[in-house]
Amino acid sequence: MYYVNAQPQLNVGILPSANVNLKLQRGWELNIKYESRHFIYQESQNPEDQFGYDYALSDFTFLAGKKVGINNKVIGGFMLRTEEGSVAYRSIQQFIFSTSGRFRIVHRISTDQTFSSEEDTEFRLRYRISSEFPLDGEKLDAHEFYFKFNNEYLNGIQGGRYDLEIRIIPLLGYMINSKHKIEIGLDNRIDSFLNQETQVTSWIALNWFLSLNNE
Amino acid sequence: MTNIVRFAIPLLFFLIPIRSNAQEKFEKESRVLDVELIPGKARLFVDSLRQGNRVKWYKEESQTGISVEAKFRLNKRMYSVEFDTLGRLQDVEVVIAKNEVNPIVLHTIEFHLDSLFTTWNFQKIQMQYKGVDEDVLKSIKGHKPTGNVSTYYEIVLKGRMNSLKNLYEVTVTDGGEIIYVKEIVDKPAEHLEY
Repeated sequence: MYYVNAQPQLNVGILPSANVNLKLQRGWELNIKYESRHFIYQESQNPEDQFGYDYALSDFTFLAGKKVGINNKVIGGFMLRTEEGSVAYRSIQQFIFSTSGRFRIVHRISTDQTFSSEEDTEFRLRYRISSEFPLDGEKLDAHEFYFKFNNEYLNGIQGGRYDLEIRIIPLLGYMINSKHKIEIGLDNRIDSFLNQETQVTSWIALNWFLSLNNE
Repeated sequence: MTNIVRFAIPLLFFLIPIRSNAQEKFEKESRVLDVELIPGKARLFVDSLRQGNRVKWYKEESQTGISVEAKFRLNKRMYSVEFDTLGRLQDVEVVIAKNEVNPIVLHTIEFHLDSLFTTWNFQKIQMQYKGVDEDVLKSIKGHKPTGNVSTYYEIVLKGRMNSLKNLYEVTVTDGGEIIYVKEIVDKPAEHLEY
């Protein structure tokens, strides 16, 4: 007989985000993002507590990027996370490289450090692959739908404890015009499965992207 | 109340008038799956080169009009054939290797690129044929310009100009003279990067 671990704990919520990207001269760009988390279902021992709206937090991210090659970008910045009664600060460093071919694929390697007065500092090393599949023709044009797939692996160390989180994010997007894109999908995050307290959180992601050009 | 506001902030952005710049370049490419929609003349031309269903048809719309394009592989080469909406042949492009370019012409091209860019390297070379159907067909089958066709090279390269590195599309005559240089602008990819 094998010992069968309890079912992973499941949480469901809504994750709306707005992302504004401003292209500047000589390969520079700025990116500002607002994202908030709203739980609508949280698994617990008491079934009566499971359903119910629960606001979790808001993130404000400010990043500056510089193109360092035809397909490469270096990005740095910070994030402010506001939760009820506390604020956390995160510094972020990223390197991205894209491959051009039949589909657009972007790889992102990033590190971040989260500081807060409540918890130990968390250090993370992450890798994400993002790909876009236009649903009509070979390239994405205005008034066209696309499928986007993100897969990310996050290694974190906090207070001497290591954890791995995996994100699997399928999204359906629509390009309104060269400035606006909207997306809806499922942002699935599986974490803590190294110490047998696996949690699965499925966010209904609602993304809006605005791309401004001031080159 | 505040929670509703937090939730609604991203949605409020949708109230910003969504309109595109009037000067914005309009381009739309879409796949055509129903071959019956392709002008008969265009189908006939492609059929004489490549039989079967391994031809992908596309419709391209832009300010300059609508065109129809067939993409297929033939004898290990990628072809793209462009027609107007009446099925009249516009041009044929075929991807070739660098060593397939006439060495004297290649030398001339490289000489001109050296004076234009501080550093550069080829990404893709396409040969373009323009002319009457019969001559173009003969040129494709014989892998060299035949009859009264005009030939151009369309080159995609990574080039450094004024210390900025970029992708360029360069159009070259069959003699190796550069007639057109265009910077290839990346399509916004912030939804993949951030």
